[in-house]
Amino acid sequence: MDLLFGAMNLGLICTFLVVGICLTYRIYDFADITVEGSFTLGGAVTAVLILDGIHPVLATFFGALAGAVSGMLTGLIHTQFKINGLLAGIIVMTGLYSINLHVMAKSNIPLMSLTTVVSILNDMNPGIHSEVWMFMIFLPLIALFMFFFALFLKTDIGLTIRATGNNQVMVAANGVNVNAMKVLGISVSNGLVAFSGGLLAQYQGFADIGMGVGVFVFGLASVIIGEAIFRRSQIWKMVLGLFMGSLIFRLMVALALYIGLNPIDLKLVTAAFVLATIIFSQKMRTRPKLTSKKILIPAVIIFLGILGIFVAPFIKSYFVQKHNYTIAVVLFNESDILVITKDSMIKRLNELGYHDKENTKVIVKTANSDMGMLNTIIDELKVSKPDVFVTISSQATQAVYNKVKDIPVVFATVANPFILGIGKSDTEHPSHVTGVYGSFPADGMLDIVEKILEGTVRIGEIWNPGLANTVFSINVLKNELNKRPNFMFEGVTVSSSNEVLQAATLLASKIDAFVLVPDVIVFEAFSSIASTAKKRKIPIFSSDIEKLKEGSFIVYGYTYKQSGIQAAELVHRVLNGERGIPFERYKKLILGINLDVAKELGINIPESVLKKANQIVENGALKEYDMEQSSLPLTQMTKMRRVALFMFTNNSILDTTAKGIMDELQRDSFDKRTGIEITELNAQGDNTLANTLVKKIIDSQYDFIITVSTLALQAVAHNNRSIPHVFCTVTDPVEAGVVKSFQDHPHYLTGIATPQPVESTIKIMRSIFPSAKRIGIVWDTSQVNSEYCTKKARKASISYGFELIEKTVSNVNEVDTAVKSLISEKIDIMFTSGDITVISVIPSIAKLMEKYKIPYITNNPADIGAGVFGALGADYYEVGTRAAGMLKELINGKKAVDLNIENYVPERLHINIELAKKFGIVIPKSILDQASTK
Amino acid sequence: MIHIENVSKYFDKGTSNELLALDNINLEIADGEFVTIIGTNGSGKTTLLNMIAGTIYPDEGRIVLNNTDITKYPDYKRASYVSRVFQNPFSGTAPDMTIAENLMIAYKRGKIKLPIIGLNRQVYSFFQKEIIKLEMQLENRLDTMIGRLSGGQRQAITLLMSVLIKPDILLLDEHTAALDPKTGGQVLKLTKEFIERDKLTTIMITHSMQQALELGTKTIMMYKGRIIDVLHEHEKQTLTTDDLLDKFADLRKKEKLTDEILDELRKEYL
Ligand SMILES: Nc1ncnc2c1ncn2[C@@H]1O[C@H](COP(=O)(O)OP(=O)(O)OP(=O)(O)O)[C@@H](O)[C@H]1O
Ligand SMILES: [Mg+2]
Repeated sequence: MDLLFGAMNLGLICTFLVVGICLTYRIYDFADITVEGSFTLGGAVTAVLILDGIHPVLATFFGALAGAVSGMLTGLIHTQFKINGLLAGIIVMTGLYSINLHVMAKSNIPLMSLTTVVSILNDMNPGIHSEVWMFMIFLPLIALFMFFFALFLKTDIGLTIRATGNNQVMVAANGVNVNAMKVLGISVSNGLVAFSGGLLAQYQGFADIGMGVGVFVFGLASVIIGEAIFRRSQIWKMVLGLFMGSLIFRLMVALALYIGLNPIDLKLVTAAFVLATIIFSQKMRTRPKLTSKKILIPAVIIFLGILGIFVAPFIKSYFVQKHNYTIAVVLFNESDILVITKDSMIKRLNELGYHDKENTKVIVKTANSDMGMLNTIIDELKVSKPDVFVTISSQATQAVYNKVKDIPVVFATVANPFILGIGKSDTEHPSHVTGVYGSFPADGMLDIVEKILEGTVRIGEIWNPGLANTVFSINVLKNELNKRPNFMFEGVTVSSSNEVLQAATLLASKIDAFVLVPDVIVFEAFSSIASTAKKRKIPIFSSDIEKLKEGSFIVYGYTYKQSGIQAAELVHRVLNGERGIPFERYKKLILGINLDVAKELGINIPESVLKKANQIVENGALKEYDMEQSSLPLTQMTKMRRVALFMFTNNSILDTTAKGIMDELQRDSFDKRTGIEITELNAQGDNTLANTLVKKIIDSQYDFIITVSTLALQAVAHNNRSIPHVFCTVTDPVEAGVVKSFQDHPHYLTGIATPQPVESTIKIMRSIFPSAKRIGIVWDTSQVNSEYCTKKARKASISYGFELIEKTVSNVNEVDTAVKSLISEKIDIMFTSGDITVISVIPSIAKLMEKYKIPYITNNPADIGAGVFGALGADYYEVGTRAAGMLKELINGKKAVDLNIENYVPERLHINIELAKKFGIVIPKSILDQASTK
Repeated sequence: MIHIENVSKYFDKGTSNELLALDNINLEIADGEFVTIIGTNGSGKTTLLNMIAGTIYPDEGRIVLNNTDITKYPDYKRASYVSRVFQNPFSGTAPDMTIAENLMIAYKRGKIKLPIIGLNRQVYSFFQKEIIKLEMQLENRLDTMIGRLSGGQRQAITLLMSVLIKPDILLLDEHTAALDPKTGGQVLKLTKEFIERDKLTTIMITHSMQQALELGTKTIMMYKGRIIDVLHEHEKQTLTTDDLLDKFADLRKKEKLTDEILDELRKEYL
């Protein structure tokens, strides 16, 4: 849901960008690179104004206005000085980089706790999934905008704009000031682009100096996709094409990631795709008669592109090693019930000695509730010749049963296999099929309802009649109700999750209690029922234990963990060659009570019921009690928990941290013992990609998140509202805008801050070089971190009697010049700290310094290997270890809210003695004693 | 009424390629007059027309239209008085827009364009009525992209566009030269009709002596940036080939032309 709607929302937001690019690129036939700068400018101006307390809607419009002005500049340069348009765009874009930095005053402005257009929309949300809600609001607004845009292109001025792009000689002869028209068009285009930027900043929760990088090609890709769908024959089609192009492009990106395309390859694939389509559409233009092929060829390209994305993982899997066993797992959708079944099954398999990627290959496929896709998946899985199929849900079971006759099948989380036509009884069925099933325990549930609610009870039920499992459960419930005259039944059927809210509202006035049988569609929208029930003070009796904390009053049903465990044991038997294994029923029922809801409703729970509870929620905390019926030890009940290790980019510091984290989590097989699985996700330094990855993390319900670096922290913090999250390798989380203070932080968020020990470094410089006067420093003004370090260095320099000579750069290519100019200014010591831009060229700076005999000191111990004179800094391996330690505490049951954020700087001093000798510098003994390696 | 006074134009002035494209041109055209221009390749005909249209500016001299000095007006400002048809049939229309949309651009020639949909039903049916006059069966194809039409059709539409709103002066630069004889003839016929209907002040460049003599009230001969002769209506009607030869002989004396040039002129026009 998050991934899908997140992608579509991005697409909607980027529609303005796409329209802007289309305006210049297609209508004016002019590739305007300014957009990369104006996109950021829009985000920057909007963010700064919001920060100043201006209303976000107004702020967004000002952002757009700023973009328009920058476009005007490009237009004027292009027309007045007759400079090639591409060049004019590059000139303005380059200049905008500095302007953007000036506007923002730093490289990143967090907007998380501020009122933005997005937060306003979220406040109006009636309880729908927030991405879906956003989509519902954005879609009509943007459709309306596109309608007016198309209309505009048909007005007199719109016609003139189009004609200007089409034939300049002609419009000039008809009294149109071509230059003015161009300036106007480029301004409007950049205004739209900046509007997109402003919206994106609010949507992702921060404005960043790098947010415009690559938007031109991405926008162009959307334009091209749009044109491939509808040729530019009519304005309406063209505009609709742009709209679709923007959505489809984002969906394709999401799909590619979802399928497992390495994010590193994403830009390459996009670039290749754009190139191929442009070449083909040009060829088509020179042969205008092949109209049907005109549509066909781009379509084929898109198809091939998508196919390529699909095929890539297969090719990859072809090269990886063979496994002893292949287990194919098919889920109908990603609903909690099914995912829990799957996870607990994999966990149990692990305990039984089947380790994924080692001796076993587990292929999990989800059909996203799409029957067509379900069949495709099964076909696809058959190709890899699995040893056993595991089908989770009735739909998956039925589909596999129909298609697979020669491979064993184990089903789980099925209400009743017999109504699916699989066998006649637990022992009479085809020998290649077995599984575990059970339906809604209606009798037990109604017993509990009777004990708690008195008199005649009107129970309300919402279900999807399209789900076989559910219909079976409903029938069981109705049969049971027939025996009990004190109950009345009110039901509403739905066909999708979106209708649940309406159904709940409809029922609420007629019933005393919701009694919910298992239904994967309805439970997807459980929060809508919960919010309705809360408003109307109606208790919810639900069959899904996972929904206890989310507002259920009583939960009574089977646990799907149990379903998974039993399925795993059946798989084990099947793999050992057993056939004709009898079907099993679930071995365990679970009762959960939410005392917080009970209090709200003012309902007293009889002691007899309370005593039987396995899970109780009180004051927001969940307590588990040993289950008498349980035949298995408690440890086996915990499902496989997943940890996302999220990085924004790669560099020596971040990689060292990540290594520390991984080593610590794997120490003494902690991960295996506690059943955690760690997935590394890396955004390759791309803002939008980071956003999508974060959506993926939340969407696939990781249990824990650990982030390395400030940007990674920000990206996650903006979207995450509940998953326990530990951050590290962050200079200052308060500055980053994610927490109010080290004590006051969101209940799921904690971590460690590691500021560079700038002050101690300068102090040590003083003791090593008593007569030194001038310290040279190079830093990138766009890095928040460098700014922070430089500020500290300025202060410390004054305290220790140094003069700090600063040279600023905006990218890595400028560092060399900056360093050389420092050398010519006769510095005594060279210093760089915490600057991601400088980091990659530290070895060459070190070389230069060696040549000029200037001691070079940094704040990263790893730099000693790069040839610096000395380094005082945090050991990032230790930082990673410490952060992982925090995460371990969370995994072991501690709450993030109870762990305060801490400053942790494991200082390490390294001195390069050889260099000291070469330079003829005597290091005081007190310092040498401090140094850990010499 | 248009006055061209002492206009000169250099190209690439100050370089080794310096070229005097117009050499002290003086010309007066009264309202309703139809002037044809003939002259060898590179004699400056197009340059003269561009000068009037405002796409290039004179180095010396001035241009006065209806008592207003328009010498410094840019082309888009002059467009409310001047309209033109180019030699290239593709220059006058926007290929990716429909016939109606192109006509709309011409309909708004020299006027302010507002964000309103001016192409309403009334205007549309007006266009339909006008386009019937082209006799090219285009009246039901107003929504076709111009790019799909033939060069002749496009040139006819450009002509229609240039007279859709009556211009003070109409400039035609060999506008039938790139068309096949039949379509060229049709476009020429239309040209005559429109000029007569609206009594348009017109300047037409042509390479056909016959056209030059048959059409218009006055014929101008150009050579190397100069107007070397003007034939008035009464002369034109009685002019024969022999007369023309005599004329050339006269010219030789007057303009000190060499025999070579006369040969060139003869070859070109006789
Ligand atoms: N923009 C320009 N730059 C330099 N020289 C030019 C330019 N435009 C025209 N000329 C030169 O000026 C001279 C007059 O050109 P012009 O186009 O007016 O000739 P013309 O009489 O229209 O010829 P044709 O019969 O071939 O169309 C030619 O020598 C031409 O090469
Ligand atoms: Mg010419």
